[in-house]
Amino acid sequence: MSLSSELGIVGIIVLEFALVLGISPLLSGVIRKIKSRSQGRVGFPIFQSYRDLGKLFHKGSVYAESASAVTEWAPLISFGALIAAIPLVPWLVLPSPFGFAGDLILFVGLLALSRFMTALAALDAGSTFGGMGSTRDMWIGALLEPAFLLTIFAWGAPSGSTGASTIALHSISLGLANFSPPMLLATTAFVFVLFAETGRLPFDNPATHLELTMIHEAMVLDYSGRELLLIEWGKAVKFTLLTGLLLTVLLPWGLSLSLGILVLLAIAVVVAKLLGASVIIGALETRFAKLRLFRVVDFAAVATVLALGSISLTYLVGV
Amino acid sequence: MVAPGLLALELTAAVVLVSAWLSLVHRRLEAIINLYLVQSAAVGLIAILVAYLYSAPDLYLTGLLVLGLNAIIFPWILHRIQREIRVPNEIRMFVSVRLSALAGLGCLLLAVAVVGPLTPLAEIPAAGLLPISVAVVLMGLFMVSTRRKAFTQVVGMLVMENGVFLAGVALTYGLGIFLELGVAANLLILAIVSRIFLYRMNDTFDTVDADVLRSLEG
Repeated sequence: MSLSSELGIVGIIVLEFALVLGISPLLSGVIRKIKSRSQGRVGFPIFQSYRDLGKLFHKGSVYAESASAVTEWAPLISFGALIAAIPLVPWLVLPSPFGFAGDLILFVGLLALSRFMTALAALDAGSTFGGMGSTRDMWIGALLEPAFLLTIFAWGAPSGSTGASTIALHSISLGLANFSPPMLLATTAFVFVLFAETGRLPFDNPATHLELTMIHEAMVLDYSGRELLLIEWGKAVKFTLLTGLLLTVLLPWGLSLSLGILVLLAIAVVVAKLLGASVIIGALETRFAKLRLFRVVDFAAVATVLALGSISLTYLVGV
Repeated sequence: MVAPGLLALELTAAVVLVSAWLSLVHRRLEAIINLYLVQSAAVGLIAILVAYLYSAPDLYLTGLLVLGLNAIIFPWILHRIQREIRVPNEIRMFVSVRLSALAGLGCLLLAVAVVGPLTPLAEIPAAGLLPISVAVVLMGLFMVSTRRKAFTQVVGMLVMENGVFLAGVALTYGLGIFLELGVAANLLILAIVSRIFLYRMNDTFDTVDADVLRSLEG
């Protein structure tokens, strides 16, 4: 491998990190804007998330007296796990230059690690809210994880691989046939997973501070300053990761197949796709009302069963 | 490379399947009626697609009939009835949502296991069409048998009818006689729908809970 192509690969990876980390606050801003508009409010400007994060960056951290060192390093690990998951999804180039590092099972694992660390951090200070939020969060995570993994198996079944690049390349080779019945079932299941993993409305209301219903907000109450920055930014990155994964499998077109000038075009396409998906997801979220907590089990069951249906259609009918 | 027409056919059939499945697990009546609307529109689209792909002009008419009747008029009537006799929006069922979701999978697997092997024998345009339509019939049947209220049972029957229609289109595309059958089935369903009005008219029970019918009243 020549030096220039190695430089190219490094450049791509840096570009991907910058893209995902940079666009995440924008996407959450877009969703908030759409939700505000649908409720008849003007809402924050879509770039407000950047200002919020910048403000947190300049603030000092305050720790609870009962907090241990976990409070300091758990958000770092939580955010680090999400960063580690970024190169597992092909964002600009197919196959992803860093895709050899792991497949989508690792992706699920890293997301789970991030979730675990956030929950651990919430428990650390020993406040009641932290305990309540982390219990609920881990519970939802445990319920939805089977659906998440089964969706990935359903997506991977036609190509026989759980690597995101292989799945995406297979999708491209199928052309229009990518939009098959199993794909529709698996994608429906994944939308459930996406809403649960990112704490969106039927599962958790990201805008609430009502103690009875909040999950994510209950977990971050003890945090301030840069730790809070990491957790909030991490939440936005997680959304981008999952949406990006969905887009890679469902609509992999527009990604560059080589390390050339086409990468620049791929950036524009990916940004457009992510923005479009955020608009759709935001609009979808306004259709839901907060679910009673124990109804989450039903959602998880439906998602799991839909993914199973997708797998069985692939193997039994071969459609 | 499969022809895009067949792909569209299969994908639309999958929309029918997913909407039937979701109406099996949804807890709100309004949403179920809307899901039925989406489902009927997809079924009508399939009929028109088959008509176009296999140049069977009479299926155009059937498709339009389904679009008009099942996708517009029936949901409208259902919404209206729900409003007028104030059927509570929450669904009451005999089995839990989780079990219903699993039953949906069971319906699908059963359909695939039983009808799947038949697909190569009959000249069916797309491989997934027949199992999916039978699965939809089974899901409708499950809805009819596990819902408490007559109203939801009617929606279940309509879902079944969509499935039967889909199977018919898959098996006998282009057969003129199917047009008449379709109309007849639709009329039958219309008669069932109007039965709900009976509940309203005799008003004896103050409810559409079918369970009440089991007890004798003086």
